Amino acid sequence: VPDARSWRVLLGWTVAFAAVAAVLASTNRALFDATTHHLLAAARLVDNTDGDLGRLWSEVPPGGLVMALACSLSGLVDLAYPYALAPVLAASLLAALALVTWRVAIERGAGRRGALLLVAATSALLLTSYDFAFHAFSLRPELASACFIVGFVGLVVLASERGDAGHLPSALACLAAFALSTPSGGLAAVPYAAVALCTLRLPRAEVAPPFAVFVVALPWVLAGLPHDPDPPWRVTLALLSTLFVGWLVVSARPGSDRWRRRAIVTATLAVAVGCAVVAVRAPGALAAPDAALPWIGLGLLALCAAWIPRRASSGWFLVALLAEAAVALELGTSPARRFGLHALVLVVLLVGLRYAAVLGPAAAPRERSIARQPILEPFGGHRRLVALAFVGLLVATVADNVRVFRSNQLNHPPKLRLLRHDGFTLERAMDARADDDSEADE
Amino acid sequence: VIAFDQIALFVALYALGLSLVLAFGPRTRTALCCALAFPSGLALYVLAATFLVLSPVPYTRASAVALFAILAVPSAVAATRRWRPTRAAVTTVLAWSAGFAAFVVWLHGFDASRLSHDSSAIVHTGLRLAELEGARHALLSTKGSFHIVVHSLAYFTSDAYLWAIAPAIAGGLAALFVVLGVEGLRALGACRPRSIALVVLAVVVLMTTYMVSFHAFYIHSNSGGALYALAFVGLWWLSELDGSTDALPVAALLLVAFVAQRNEGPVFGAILILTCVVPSALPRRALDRFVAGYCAIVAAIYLLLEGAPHFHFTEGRRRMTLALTLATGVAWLIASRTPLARLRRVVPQLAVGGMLVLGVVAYLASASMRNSIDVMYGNTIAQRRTGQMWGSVWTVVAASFALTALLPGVRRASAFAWSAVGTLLLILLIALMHPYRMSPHDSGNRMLLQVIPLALFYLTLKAAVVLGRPPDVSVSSRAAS
Repeated sequence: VPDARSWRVLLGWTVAFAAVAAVLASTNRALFDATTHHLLAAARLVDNTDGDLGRLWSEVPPGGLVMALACSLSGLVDLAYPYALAPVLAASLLAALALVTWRVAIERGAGRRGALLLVAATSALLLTSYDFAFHAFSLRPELASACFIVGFVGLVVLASERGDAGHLPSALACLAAFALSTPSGGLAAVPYAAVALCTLRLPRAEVAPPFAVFVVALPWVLAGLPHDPDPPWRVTLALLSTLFVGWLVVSARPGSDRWRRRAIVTATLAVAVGCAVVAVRAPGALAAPDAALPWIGLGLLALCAAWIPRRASSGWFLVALLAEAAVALELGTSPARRFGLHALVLVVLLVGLRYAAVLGPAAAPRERSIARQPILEPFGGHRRLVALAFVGLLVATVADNVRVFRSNQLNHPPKLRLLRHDGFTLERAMDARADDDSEADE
Repeated sequence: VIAFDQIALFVALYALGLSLVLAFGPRTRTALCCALAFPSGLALYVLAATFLVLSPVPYTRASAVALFAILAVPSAVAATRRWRPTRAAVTTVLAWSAGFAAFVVWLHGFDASRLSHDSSAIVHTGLRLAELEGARHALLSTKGSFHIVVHSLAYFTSDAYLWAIAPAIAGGLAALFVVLGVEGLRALGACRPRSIALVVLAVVVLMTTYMVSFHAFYIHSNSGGALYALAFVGLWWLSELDGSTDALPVAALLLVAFVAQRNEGPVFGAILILTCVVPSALPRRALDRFVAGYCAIVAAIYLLLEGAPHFHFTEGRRRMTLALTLATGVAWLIASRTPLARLRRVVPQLAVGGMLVLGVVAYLASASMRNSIDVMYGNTIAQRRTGQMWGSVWTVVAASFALTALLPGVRRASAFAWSAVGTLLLILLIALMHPYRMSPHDSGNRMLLQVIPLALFYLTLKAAVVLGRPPDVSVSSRAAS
């Protein structure tokens, strides 16, 4: 039950949100382009398709599902289109970023004045950047995904800093929304989930349940879409399951911090190799003006990563950002504008957190002992869990074998009538075989 | 007068095999002896009959019966001298024998066999063996000699052909899988109901795989190959666990039977020798006898096949196979008596690594090889144009290899893994000489039947040992603290 202070905070934020939204909605400064028209056309279909989601899906621009559904709400208030949606989203993003920076700075021992200065500086940095300002007035899908990814990273960092796993369900809801608002679908969410799992300094028993729900829920939602996304939801499910089971197994081992460190270093190398492979496979993408921005961004990010203090594990989200860029480039989903915005907001957030660590006397995050919670105890340890997973695989295989038996339409070799004295000779058998071979050759 | 049909034939072969295994096999493991009885009896009689066919002696009912007597009497005498049964062992033998007889009677009652041109050639050539006077060796190289001789036995029965042999072999494979698993888990101290249940589940997976169950009724050599490969590697593994050489004569017989399934069998035999025999910790003298016996029997068969008609098995290939068999023996002599003996333990890794390198080079250099590997992928995993013959079993096996890598190794059981991987790589390399085609009945696709029981048994063993042992006390206490 919220206490009186919580109620005051809730009330204050609600009133402030309403006031800001009212101000932003008082004037229409929306910017349009072709993507906006596609988005709004798709949004109108939501009201007029009588549940024919397949038609809607074919009209939605890449990664625009969440925004199309959000725009369709304008029909409820008799508006032609929600011209204030982008500014309100931008304000929400700014507020979330400011709040996360504030809380982390306070957690790390910064004074209120220092924290306020930091928040003002990062907000100004974001507000004065052209990319953010452009998206703050454009009805395009990119701002929504940027909002969601900042929400996820911010909540994960807060959960880690405050030792409070209660942030995780909201964080994972943000990540799921992010997956639904990018063209790369669930694949783009995997690196962020991986970094979160590797860097969260929380008891395993508290981390495992929300992630387990996420691993099942996201592919389930993707599978429910009218068209199979690209990549298919099965790929997302396989990657997330492997990641989660691997984390369950590895984090049960003694010295799991060392394992996490290894995992994240290996992932960094893999991402670096992946980026190189993408660059080799699609050299044109580097040369195209539209795709130049991500690579400039990557260079800057690599530079920044070198300056992130070693113990500020949130810096590893930069690796996830690189992985997202590699995935987007590999899938050819024109990442420049989208990635530019993602990179911008995340770099502002993470650089702000880096300075938050420097401001206070407790420059390093609190050391928290990770109590090994016995979540695998019912299984008798990770080995037993692996053995049981193998049993599960076998049971699933039997079920699949039964399905194959039922559906197999193969024409098997016919059963021949065999008689002992039917004129068979070796020469005739050889001739028949030679005929078969020649037919096969032809 | 009782007709001498397949029932009588199979029961006679079972009795022959049982006496052989109780005399020269793992006689302390009664259930395993019973499970090995039919495969061993079949192998012994067929190999002896192969030499009879290749000899100038007429192949008639009288000579076949005489041959059976020559084999059965010494085996029975040896069994009565060597086997010291307990009451439980006698009960096991009686119950198993009754079960086998009932199983064969049931199989004889219906004919669900499937036949292709290959099957027809095997059956007809086998029947022809007994009718032909002279030049019989010419018939044996049309396919692997083993099944041709097996089907020649139909000539001496009242049945038109042996429609029950394929399901009998498949039943033998399933029974052997379970018994090997239980005996192995018992030797490892992990035999509990849940681990046995896992072994049974793995057998269900194996036998319900459409390709395997199809070959349980398809007259061809591949299910026999699967049976004898698993029997040999399994028996060898148990011998290693026990540190006993008692079962090596039967193991040699099973290996020769495996080799005789296909004309290129000695190449596969060489792989199994590299993965099982060479790294073995058993006494060298026993291994010498094993390798010498194997090489002598296989070389004799291929020597006597000289001048056979040339289908795919040309005279050049026969000589190459003969040379490889002899080279296997010479290589063993060198590897076991020179400083190279220090490397014996890592020979499976070296062999598989060498084949892998060869495979990569071949893949890069040969378009035919690339095409064959694409075809194999299409036949096993993608299965778009070939029907769902394998279902998802190969995907599951590949994933399980990765998954069970997290589990501790099982004592001496790596022979299963190396044999499976080595055989798989060899099947891929054979594509250099014999390109594969997109078909469920393609030679390469069928040969994979030899691999799947070995791979599945190994994976099952690793998981079953974990489930069969008490929970890790250190993990529990750490968690509690």
